[in-house]
Amino acid sequence: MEDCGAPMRSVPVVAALLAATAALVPRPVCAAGLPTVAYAVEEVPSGWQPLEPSDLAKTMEHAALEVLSKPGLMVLKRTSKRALAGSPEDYVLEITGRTVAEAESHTVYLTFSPGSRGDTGSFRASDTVVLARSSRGVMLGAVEASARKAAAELLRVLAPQLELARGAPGSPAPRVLDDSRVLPWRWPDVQVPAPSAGKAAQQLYSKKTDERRAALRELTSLALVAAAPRNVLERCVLTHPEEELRAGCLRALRPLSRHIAPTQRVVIEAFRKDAAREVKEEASEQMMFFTGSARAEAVQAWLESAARCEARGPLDQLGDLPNLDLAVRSCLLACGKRPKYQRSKRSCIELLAPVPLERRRRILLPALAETDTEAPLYLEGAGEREGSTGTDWQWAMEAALEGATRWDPALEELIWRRWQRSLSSSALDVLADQAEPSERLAGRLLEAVTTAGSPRALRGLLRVGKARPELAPSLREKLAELAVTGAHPKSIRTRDLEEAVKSLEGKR
Amino acid sequence: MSIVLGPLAIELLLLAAAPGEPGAAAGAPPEVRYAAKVVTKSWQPLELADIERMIEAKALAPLLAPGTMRLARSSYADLTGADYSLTIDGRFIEEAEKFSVYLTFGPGKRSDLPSFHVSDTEALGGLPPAVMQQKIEALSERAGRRLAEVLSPRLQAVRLEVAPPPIEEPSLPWEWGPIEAPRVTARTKSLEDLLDVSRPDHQRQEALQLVKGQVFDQPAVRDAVVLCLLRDPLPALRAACGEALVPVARTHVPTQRLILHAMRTDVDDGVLAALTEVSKDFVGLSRKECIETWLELAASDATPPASASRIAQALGEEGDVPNLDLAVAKCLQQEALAYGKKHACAQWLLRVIPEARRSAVVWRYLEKVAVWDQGENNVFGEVKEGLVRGRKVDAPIAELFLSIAERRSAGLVRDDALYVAMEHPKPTPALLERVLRLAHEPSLTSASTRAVSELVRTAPELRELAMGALRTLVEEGPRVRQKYGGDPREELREALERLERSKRP
Repeated sequence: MEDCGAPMRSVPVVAALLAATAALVPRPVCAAGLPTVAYAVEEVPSGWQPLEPSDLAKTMEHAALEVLSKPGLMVLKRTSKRALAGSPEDYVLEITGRTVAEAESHTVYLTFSPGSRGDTGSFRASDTVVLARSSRGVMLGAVEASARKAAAELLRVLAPQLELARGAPGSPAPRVLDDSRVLPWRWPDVQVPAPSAGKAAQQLYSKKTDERRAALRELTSLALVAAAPRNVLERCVLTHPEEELRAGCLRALRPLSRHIAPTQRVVIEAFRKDAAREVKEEASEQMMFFTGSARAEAVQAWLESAARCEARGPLDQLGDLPNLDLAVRSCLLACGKRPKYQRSKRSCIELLAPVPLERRRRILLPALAETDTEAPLYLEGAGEREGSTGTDWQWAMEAALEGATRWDPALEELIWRRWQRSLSSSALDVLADQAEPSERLAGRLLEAVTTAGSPRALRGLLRVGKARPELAPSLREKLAELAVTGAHPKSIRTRDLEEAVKSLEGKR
Repeated sequence: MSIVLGPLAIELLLLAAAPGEPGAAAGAPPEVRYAAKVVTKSWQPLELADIERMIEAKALAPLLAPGTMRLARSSYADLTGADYSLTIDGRFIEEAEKFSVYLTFGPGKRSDLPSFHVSDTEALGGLPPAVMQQKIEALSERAGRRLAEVLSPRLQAVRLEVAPPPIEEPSLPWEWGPIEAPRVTARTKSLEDLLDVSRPDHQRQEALQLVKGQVFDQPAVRDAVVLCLLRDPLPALRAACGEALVPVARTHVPTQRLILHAMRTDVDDGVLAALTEVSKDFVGLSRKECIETWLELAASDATPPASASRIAQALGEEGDVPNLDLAVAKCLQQEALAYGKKHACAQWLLRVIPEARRSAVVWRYLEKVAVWDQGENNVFGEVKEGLVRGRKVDAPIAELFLSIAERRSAGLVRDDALYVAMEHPKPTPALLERVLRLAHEPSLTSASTRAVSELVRTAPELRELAMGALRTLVEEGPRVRQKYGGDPREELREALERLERSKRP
C-alpha cells in the first residue's frame, strides 16, 4: 500500500485478554491511520430490468459510499470485481445489486471482507425495495435510499471493528461483539402474485383429502413442464394449513427452484419461517443447489438459523463467511437459553474453525470467562471427567488456543480459575502440556499435585523442570517432601512422586 | 433468396483465408482437415448435396476469419492426417421438422488441444424452401462463430507455442432447440388413465403396465408414454415410463431427443438413473447429443449428486470426448453445495483428460479452492493427484500450490499444498522466504520446515540463508505447543539440525 508507512501497532482487546494474540499479527496502518478498502460495484443483469444496470450500479455506488465514508473510518478505493480477490488493500467491499422479476423489486447487497488484513470478520448487509409501476426517477430514488439503508446497517456493525483496526494509541479497550447485535441482513417481504383460480388451485384447499391430493398431483405435473402453476404452489408452500401439503407443494417446486429467483425466495422463506421439520429439511435441501445471489441469501438464511441455535445447513463447508462472527455470538446465547440438557453449544463453536484466532478469541473469551452457571453464555463442563467425554468448555478452550503462537498469561489465569472452580481435567491438561513454563505455573501445578493428587499436574511439573532447569531443584525438594511425608491425596502414588524426584535430579 | 455456394466458391474462400503454405515452419497456424455430411431418415425438404455445401461454406467462414488455422477438405479416411480434424454434420429430424448442425473439432496428428463440439437447431416445419435455406445458413454461421470463439485462443497458443490459457467461467458451446411434447389425440381408456394425473398413483401405474407392450407398434401409445415421462408427478412412474421407451428409443430420433430433454429438465435421481441407462444405447448423431446432455448434467449445479456421479462414470467410459475440458472446468467451479457434486468430475473425468491439458482445466478451481469439509478435501485430493502424481512438478504449478498454502481461506489443504510446492524445480531466495514465513503458523510449521529441507536439497546454495532464517525462527517463531501437531519450536530446532547435518560431507 503506497500510503501505509506508520509503525505497526498491537491492539488491546477485552482487558488485555487479547493483547498477546493481537500482537502476533503485523498490522500496517496507513499514514492517516485509516484502513484502506478496495471496492467494486456490480449490478447483476436479470430477466426483468426496468432500469439500465449501469445506472443502477452508479446509484448504488454513490449512495453507499456517501454513507460509508462519512464517519472517516476508511479510505475507499475503486477497483474492478476481478481485481478485488487479489487486492492488496486492507479490506474489500463488494456492492452488488439485482432485480427480481414478479416481485419487481431490487436488492442491494454490501459485503465487507478482509483483504490483506485478517483481523476483522466479514459482514454483509442487504436491503430490498419494490420498484413496481414507478417512474424512472422514483425507482432510482428508491434504489438510492435502499443502498443508503444497507450502508448504514453495515456501518453500524462495522464501525467498532474499524475503530479496532485503526488501533489509535490510548484508545479504550475494544468491545467484544455486543450481545444486542442482530444480523444486519434485511429479508425482503415475499409476496406471491395471486394465482389464477384454476380448478386444481381451488381444490388444493378442498375439504376432501382425495381432492387435495389429486390437485397437488396435477400441479406437480404442470410444474414439470411449465412455470404456469408456480404461483399456486408457492402460495401453498407459504400459506397452506396442512403440513403435508406444504411439504408436497415445496417438493413440486424442486425443478423450478433450481433456476427461478422468485421461487428461490419462497423456498428460503419456507426454511426461515415454517415450523415443520419436513418443510425445513426439504427447503434446506433445495437451497443446496442455489447459485449466485440466491446462494448468498441461502447462506444468510442458514446463518440466521444457526444464530437461533437451529439447523445450520452446510455452513461448516463454507469457511469464513460474512456475518459469521455475529451469528456465532448469537448462537452461543441462543443455545444457552434452551432447557438445561439441550444447551450444547458445540454446533456454534465448530463454526469458528475457519475464523482467525484473534476474532475467535473475541467471541469465545467472554463465554470462557463466564462463571455464573445460569448465564446463557456459560459453557458447560464435566470437571474431572472432561477429556473422555468432551464438553462445550473444552471445545471452546481448544478453539481459543488453536493456532496460538505466544502463550497468553491472561488466558492461563482464566484456565486456572476454571480448574479451581470445577477441577476441569482438560484445563489441567492444557496447563500441564501447553502453558509457557514459569514459576507461577510451577506453583499452580504443585498445588494441583498437593491438593488434588493430579498425575497430569505431575507430568506438567516435569515439563516445567525440563524447560526451566533453574526451577528444578525447588520442585524436586517439594515433591520429595510429599513423598517422604505421604501428605498427598492417594490418587497419586508415592512411587510416581519418587520417580519424578529422580527425573528432576537429572535436570539440575 | 440466398445463393448456395458451389465447390469453387469454397475453394476460393479457403485460399483467401489461408495465411501460409501447408507444413510451414513453426509459428504457422496448424492445419485442420475437415469433412462435411448431411443425413436424414425420411424427411428431406431440400437436396442433401446443396445443404452440405451450404453448411460447409457458412460454418467455415467464421472459423477462417481469425487466421488461426489452415483448413483443407478431406475424405473421412484421411481426416486425421493433419494437425487437427473437423467434422461438419447436418441432420433433418422427421416429425419435429427441424434441422440440426454439429461441428466437432478433434485431434489429428496432434492431441494437445481439447476436442470441442458445437451444435444448434432450427425449426423448419411449414416454411418455404428459400426461408429454410436462410435459416440453415444462419444456423451454420452461428455454430461456426461459437466454435471459433472457443477455438481461436487455443489455436493461437499452439501457433505461438505457449501453454493454453486456463478455462475461465466456462459455458458449454451448444444450443438445444425448442422441444415440443407430443400430443395424444386418440385416447383409449388405458391411455386416459395413464395421462390423467388426478388419478391415484396405482391407477396410472396399472395403466402403464397395460400399454407398455404396445409402445413400439403404436405411435399414440409411444407419445402417451413420452408424456408420462415428461409430466407424471410421481418420479417412480416417470422412471418406469422412461424404461418403457427403450425399444423405440433405439432408433426413433424424436423420442431420443425427448428423452434427452427429460434428462436435462428432471431433477429426480431415480428418473435420471433410468434415463441414463436408456440413453447409453443411442448411436450416430444422437450419440453426440447424448454425450452433450451428459456433459451438461455432469457440469450443472442443478444435477443431484448421485446422478452427477453416475453420469460422470458413464462419460468416463467414453474417453476424451469433445467439450470434456469445458465441462470438467465448469463442474469444478460450480457453486452448488450438495455433498459429492464435484467429486464425480474429479474422480471419473479429470483423469480421462490427457496430462498436458489438465492444468488449464483445474487452474481456476485451484486458484479459489476452499476446503473445510471432507467432501471438498476429497475433490482437492483427486485434482492434486490428477495434476501432479507421477509427474515432475513445474514452476508454475509449484507457485500455484504455494499460493494455496499462503491463503488462509484455502482451509484444511494448506499443508498438502505446501508438499507440492516444495517440489519446485528452481527455488529462489524469494520463494524460500515465502515458505519460511508460513512456519510462523503452528499448523504449518512442520510442513514448512520439511519444505525448506526439500528446497535446500534442490538448491544447496540456499542452505545458509535457510539456516539463518531458521535460527531466527527458533528464537522468535511460534512457541505454544499445539494439542494436535506437536511443539513448533522443537520442529524448528530439528529442521535446523537436519540442515546442519546435511552440510557435513
